Amino acid sequence: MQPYRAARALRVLIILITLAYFVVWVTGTIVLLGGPAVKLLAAPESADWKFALPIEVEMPDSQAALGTRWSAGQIEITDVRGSVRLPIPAMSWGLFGLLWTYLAMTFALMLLFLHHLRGVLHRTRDGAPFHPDNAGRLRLLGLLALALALLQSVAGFLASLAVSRGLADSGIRVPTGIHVDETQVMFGLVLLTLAEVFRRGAELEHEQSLVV
Amino acid sequence: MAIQVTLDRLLQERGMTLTELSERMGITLANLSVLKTNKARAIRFSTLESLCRELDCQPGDLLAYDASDAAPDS
Repeated sequence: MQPYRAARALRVLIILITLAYFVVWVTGTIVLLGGPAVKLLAAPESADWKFALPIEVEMPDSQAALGTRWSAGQIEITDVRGSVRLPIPAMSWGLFGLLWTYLAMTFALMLLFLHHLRGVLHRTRDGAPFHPDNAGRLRLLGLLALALALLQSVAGFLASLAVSRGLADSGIRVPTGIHVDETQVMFGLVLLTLAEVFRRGAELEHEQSLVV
Repeated sequence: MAIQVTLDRLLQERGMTLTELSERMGITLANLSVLKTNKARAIRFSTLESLCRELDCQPGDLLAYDASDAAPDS
């Protein structure tokens, strides 16, 4: 790889990560300040402001008569999934508080993740990718990814418990088990593995610096 | 480390400072200090050649082996 290309890719990556950091920061601020404002100021019957719960529900199978260009017949609609959105003004303060806390923790973890990812890139840009700081940051990134997966699992489980009772007579199925996002867990494990690789890299670089 | 670098003795005999030697060799003062304080893990032949040239000595004049500091066999 040409050195110039590597440097440009790094600069682009730094710009993208920095942009993502500020987008999350601004979005988080708007959502976390706007939510309580809507709860306090909007009319209780207002359905304009909704909060999406971190769960997926399953709709009952259904059938419909449908005429197609080939023939008339019955079609079967199965495995329909959807999300649950609750109107914020109609929510109890307890439920709103829990959901707000979940959102605040999610935004905080995302901001921490992006902040440390920027740190890794800046060290790399400065010519010291295998610095012990980067090994520490990658380990923290791995732990943050796993923490996010855990937070989403716990939040989803609690939300499903809260919602399943209310939807019991509607025929809509709410999976109440603990669901873990395997992709996110694997991502966290990959980062932890990279952290160990970088830690060894830092040791080798230190040894190299002692070669005169 | 069992291998000792006797750079300070040679500098004293030649009446030269470490800074002067680093400028003549084109090597940073920090790297030479690593060598002088016996913190170096290895030395390149090119560096050894440069040292011998500037200090007008043989490699054996620069390096000494101290058996009491030798690492035990694994």
